[in-house]
Amino acid sequence: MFDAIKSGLAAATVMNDAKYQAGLGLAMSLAAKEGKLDVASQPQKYRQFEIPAVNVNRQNVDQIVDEYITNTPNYDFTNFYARWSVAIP
Amino acid sequence: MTSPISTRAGRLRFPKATIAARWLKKTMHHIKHIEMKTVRLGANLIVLGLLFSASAIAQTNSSPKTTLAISIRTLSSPYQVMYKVGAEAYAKQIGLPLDVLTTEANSQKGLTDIKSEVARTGGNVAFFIDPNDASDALPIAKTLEAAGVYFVTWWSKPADVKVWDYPHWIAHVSFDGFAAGTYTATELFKTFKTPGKGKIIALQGRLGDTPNAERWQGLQQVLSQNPGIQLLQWESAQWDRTQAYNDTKAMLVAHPDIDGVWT
Repeated sequence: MFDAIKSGLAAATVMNDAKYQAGLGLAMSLAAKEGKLDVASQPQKYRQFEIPAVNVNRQNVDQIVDEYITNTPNYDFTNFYARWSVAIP
Repeated sequence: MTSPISTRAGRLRFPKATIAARWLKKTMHHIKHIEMKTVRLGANLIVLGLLFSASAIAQTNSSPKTTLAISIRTLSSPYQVMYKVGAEAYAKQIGLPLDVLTTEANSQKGLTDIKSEVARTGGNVAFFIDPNDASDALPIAKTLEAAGVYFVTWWSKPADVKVWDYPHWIAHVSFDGFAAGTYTATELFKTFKTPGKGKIIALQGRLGDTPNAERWQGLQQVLSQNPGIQLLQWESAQWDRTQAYNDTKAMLVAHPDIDGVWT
């Protein structure tokens, strides 16, 4: 899809950062297991929530590919809710 | 220690008294040797005993490493492969073992593999799970709750199943599908010869998935704001690349004069 956007065949897409997804999910589970995350005390908005995807178009596609696909960002998993955008009811 | 003595004694050619004296001397020598060996062996055993004791203490003081596990659909999708890459990077960073389970789009296999992983690790496991289908979230939650295993799910779960009803279900996270659907539709319609006017076909993912439903709602909203756009046909490709390719080809045969494809 990124190549298609670069060539002008595709208009846009969204990039769901799967590397971040996996890292965050594991970090939260491990923290709860080790007693570092008190699950029961978390408000409901932090139990079911959404995070934003990355919008990709012809203007930013090269940057996104380099940052998220070719390389792996150095994620900070100390704040599990850093990318929180909206609660899921 | 005794067999070399009898072997050597069997080769001697001396008078009986000499033989007896030499035998006695050799025997005494071997007895001393055996005693020394015994002392050394005893010392070695003591050392080994200390090592085992130290090991046992170490085992007692530090519990076995927790296994990290991810349950995903497949490794034939570039997106799902990125799950594995991200999980591996995190596991390496913190020095814990990682297991990657794939459902291969089979919900029953997904649940069975999760149960097996819990059994294999004795429950000493932390999970990241992308359920194969929204309806899988409930049996997975019941299984891991019963096992006392913490887990986070992504993407799909039934709306009436709430995370907070399960103490070990830490969170359910998803991406904003509605925003994604509106963004891609808006960008697509801008590129038409006459922006906001044209014919499209559409390709959905799995119909049971919440994100797919949200994206579809996003498209529908943008369509309602752009009456000049006609949606001629849509298909569900189940998030499968091959099926998506075949479905799109078939729709293009039926509608060769479209302006764009939304997916």
